[in-house]
Amino acid sequence: MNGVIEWIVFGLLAGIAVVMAASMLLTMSMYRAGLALMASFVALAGIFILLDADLPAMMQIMMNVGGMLIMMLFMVMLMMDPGGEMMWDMKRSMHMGGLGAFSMTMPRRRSPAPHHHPAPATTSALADGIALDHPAIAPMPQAMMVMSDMPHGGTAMSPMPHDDMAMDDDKMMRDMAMSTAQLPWALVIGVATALALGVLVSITPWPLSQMTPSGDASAIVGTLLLGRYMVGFEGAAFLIVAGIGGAVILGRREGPAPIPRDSPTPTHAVGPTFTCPMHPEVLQDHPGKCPTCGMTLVPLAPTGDEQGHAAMPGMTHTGWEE
Amino acid sequence: MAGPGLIPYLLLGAVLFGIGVVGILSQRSALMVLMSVEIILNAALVNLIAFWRFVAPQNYDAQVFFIIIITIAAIEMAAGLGLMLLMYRQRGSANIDAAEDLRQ
Repeated sequence: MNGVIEWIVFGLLAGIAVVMAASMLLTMSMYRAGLALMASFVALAGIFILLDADLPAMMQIMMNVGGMLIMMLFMVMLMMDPGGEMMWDMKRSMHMGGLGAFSMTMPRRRSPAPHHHPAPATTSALADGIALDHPAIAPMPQAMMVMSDMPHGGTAMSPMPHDDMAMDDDKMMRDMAMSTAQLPWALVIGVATALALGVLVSITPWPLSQMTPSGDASAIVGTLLLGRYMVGFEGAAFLIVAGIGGAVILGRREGPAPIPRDSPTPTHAVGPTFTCPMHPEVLQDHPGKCPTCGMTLVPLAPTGDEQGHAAMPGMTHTGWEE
Repeated sequence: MAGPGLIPYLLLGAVLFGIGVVGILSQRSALMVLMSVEIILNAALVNLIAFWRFVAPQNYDAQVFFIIIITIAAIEMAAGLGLMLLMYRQRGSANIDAAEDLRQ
């Protein structure tokens, strides 16, 4: 009876741990990925308790889950789209109004505050969707954007023939996802690794012991840690100090200067420059398709090395850097 | 009926290891790669504790190793996040591909 309960608990916890770890790789949202990983960690803490190892279970929750919280803090700070909202919008707008709708909606979301980027008047007007009714500067993608922004407006026009756009859908989804195009190969390698490890651990004759753990685990571990493993303990402590110190040094404001862009950015170009929403390094002086992903280029006037911070204007002046 | 023995725990560790490998090989963002490394470390920890329980339950050295490994994991994450923050400042992106110029 006891064994059955143990099997049930093991199955539940192992299922949670594996499913959550896998869904971390499948979800569109980094925030959800962090939460899934935390759930996986907590389930593993349960596994440790099932293995009579209470102290490691406590350490697991304290250090790994706490560490994940810090990781998620960085996620929210550094990622363009930690919640996956942009991804979701893209999926929906592709469903409703085709690719052109999305490629014009996204840069509006990403565009920083106006005072950061003094764009030419035509460009900003285009980006804000103000002058859309003007025939000269309202080509097809913008028109489609308007339709998809109207409630239930996009669906009527969605069967519009756009062969090249439909062909690019798959490519672009891959480009927006958190995984690279090498995902199938990674899956093959990962499954092969897991299978090989599983077979290996199954056929190895482990010298099993029938004894059960006895004694006050924390007292014994404490004695060992401060006695036999004092050097390792001190080494770990030194590494903690070195790691924190290194992170503080790396995180200082007067760190190494930003790398200047190799390709001269046409900041003072006469006409509006066009860039890919996903590949800021792609810059053209005429509209067209991105050579990397095939998305429709959008008008934008980025300024040199500020480009990276453009997505998060507040990022350059956060208080914690000081 | 006896509870799960050593092998189920080791299989759980193997599956988690495979998931971590997939993540490291396929993810675009440096943060996700760091999180995948965490999964692999946890797979190793499951194996460690399972071996402690079923091979040498009277020997508490394994739990000391557990503490040291989990400390190293925390430091690794701190150093990785520091590097990533630096990369973000320099290149304006936390994507792995943004560091391609290091290849030269």
